[in-house]
Amino acid sequence: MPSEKALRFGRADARTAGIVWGSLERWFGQRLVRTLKTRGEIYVSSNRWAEIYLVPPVQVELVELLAASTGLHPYSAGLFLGYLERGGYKPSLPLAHLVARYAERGLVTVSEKAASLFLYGRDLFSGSITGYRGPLERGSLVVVLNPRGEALGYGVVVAAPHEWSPGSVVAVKNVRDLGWYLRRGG
Amino acid sequence: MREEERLFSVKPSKYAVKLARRYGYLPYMIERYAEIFGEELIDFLDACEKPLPRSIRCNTLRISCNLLVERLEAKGFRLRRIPWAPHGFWVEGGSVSLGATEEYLLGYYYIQGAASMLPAYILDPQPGERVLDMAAAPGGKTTQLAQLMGDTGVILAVDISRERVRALRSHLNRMGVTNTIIVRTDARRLAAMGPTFDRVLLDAPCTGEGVIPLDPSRKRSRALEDILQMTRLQEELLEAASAVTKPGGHIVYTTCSIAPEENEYVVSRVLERHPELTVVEPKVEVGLPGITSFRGVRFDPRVSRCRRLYPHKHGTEGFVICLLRKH
Repeated sequence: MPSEKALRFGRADARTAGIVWGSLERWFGQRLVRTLKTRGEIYVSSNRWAEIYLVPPVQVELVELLAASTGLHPYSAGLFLGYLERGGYKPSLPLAHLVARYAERGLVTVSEKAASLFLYGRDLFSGSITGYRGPLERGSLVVVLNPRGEALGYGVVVAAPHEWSPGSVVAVKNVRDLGWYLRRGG
Repeated sequence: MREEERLFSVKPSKYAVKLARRYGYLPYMIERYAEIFGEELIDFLDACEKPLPRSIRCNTLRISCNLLVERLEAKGFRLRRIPWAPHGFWVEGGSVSLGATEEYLLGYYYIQGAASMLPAYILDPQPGERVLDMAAAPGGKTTQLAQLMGDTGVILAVDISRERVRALRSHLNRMGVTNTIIVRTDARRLAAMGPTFDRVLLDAPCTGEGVIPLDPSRKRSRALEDILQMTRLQEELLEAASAVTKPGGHIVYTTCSIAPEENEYVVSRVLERHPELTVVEPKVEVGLPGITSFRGVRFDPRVSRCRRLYPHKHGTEGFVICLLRKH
């Protein structure tokens, strides 16, 4: 078990921030990034993984007071944006909710039945996709929405729309869905 | 005889031993309950034999309560408002587990005991304030504080357990809470921060004497000595809470134990050392007054302003809640 002192929580360097903002802009467009940037700065918690947080100024002040008076670093703060893995950025489930609201692309809407199955970790067939925003290309990351526009998680496009034949093709592979909270505890 | 000796040396009567055998308790517990409940003792013991009604708190950070009720009722659940909890509902029926619905995964509600919703309402945190939650995991009360603050200001949520901190973060993420900093540590260490917080919630670690309807093993799992040890930790935590509260700020001290030793006694002892603290009458219309004397020990009379909830009286887990103000 890592000791409290092994935790480090600090402002992200320019390279890390660049990876995060660049990835989000590529997947979901500028509006999301602009919105997030008004809410705080990127911080990194280096525990077992490099976890990425968006921390507003009011919290930064308390994080600094905590460190100065007790020597303690937070386990987490603000909005959990995701983590860095092998140099790449993996977005978090809580971020998906904001993506659904602000993304200009990278959204896929599915039928009620497919939405339920997706929450159990299943992939999406082309016939269950009822709409999408932005061009979908093989390999691109998308947020999956149910018919009410609620974000259910992330998938990767494995077949672009021109390759779809109804009901027969796996179009989006499940990357992480909200069922994760039950299966793994988030 | 010293106060502590009087409180922590219990000789059960024959009647207590007989009842303890019948209901499966350790005799010292029944002896104490006889003093707490008097003629209602059997009512209390019978109520602890029955499961508690399930309850949820709707998360207005993500959905309106009316819409949530509509969606859950369409799935076969029946919801009834909890009179003292503006966002609380008792839930019956339903063919799927309450912890596995799409609405749960979307963070639209938290499965929370009805009585455990009260401390956050009593603390009454305001948008923009700085709040400390000293024993925060798994996060029912933390997410409720964030909801009441409209996810603004800042909550410092502390817990000592690594596993429980993971659960806390998971619930914050699921429920869309972003105004919270989590720290894994012994909350007593935070005293070094000085008077920093507008409000402090201390849902103190306790022996769980109020949750017997949920955990019947508690009838036999803790000795009186365990309660004594727990009161020492509770006092130290309340001391730390006092140290970090701004003048004019509020502290809620609460436990899911009905033991007067873990509640009114702890608060009385801290009041003795801290003239700047007082107990304030909470603005809630539920609960019985705090106990002012027990086993011949007189507590600070101001602890009568604490609130006690019981399974046989309120249909909830046993809970004690005290609201303190720092001058």
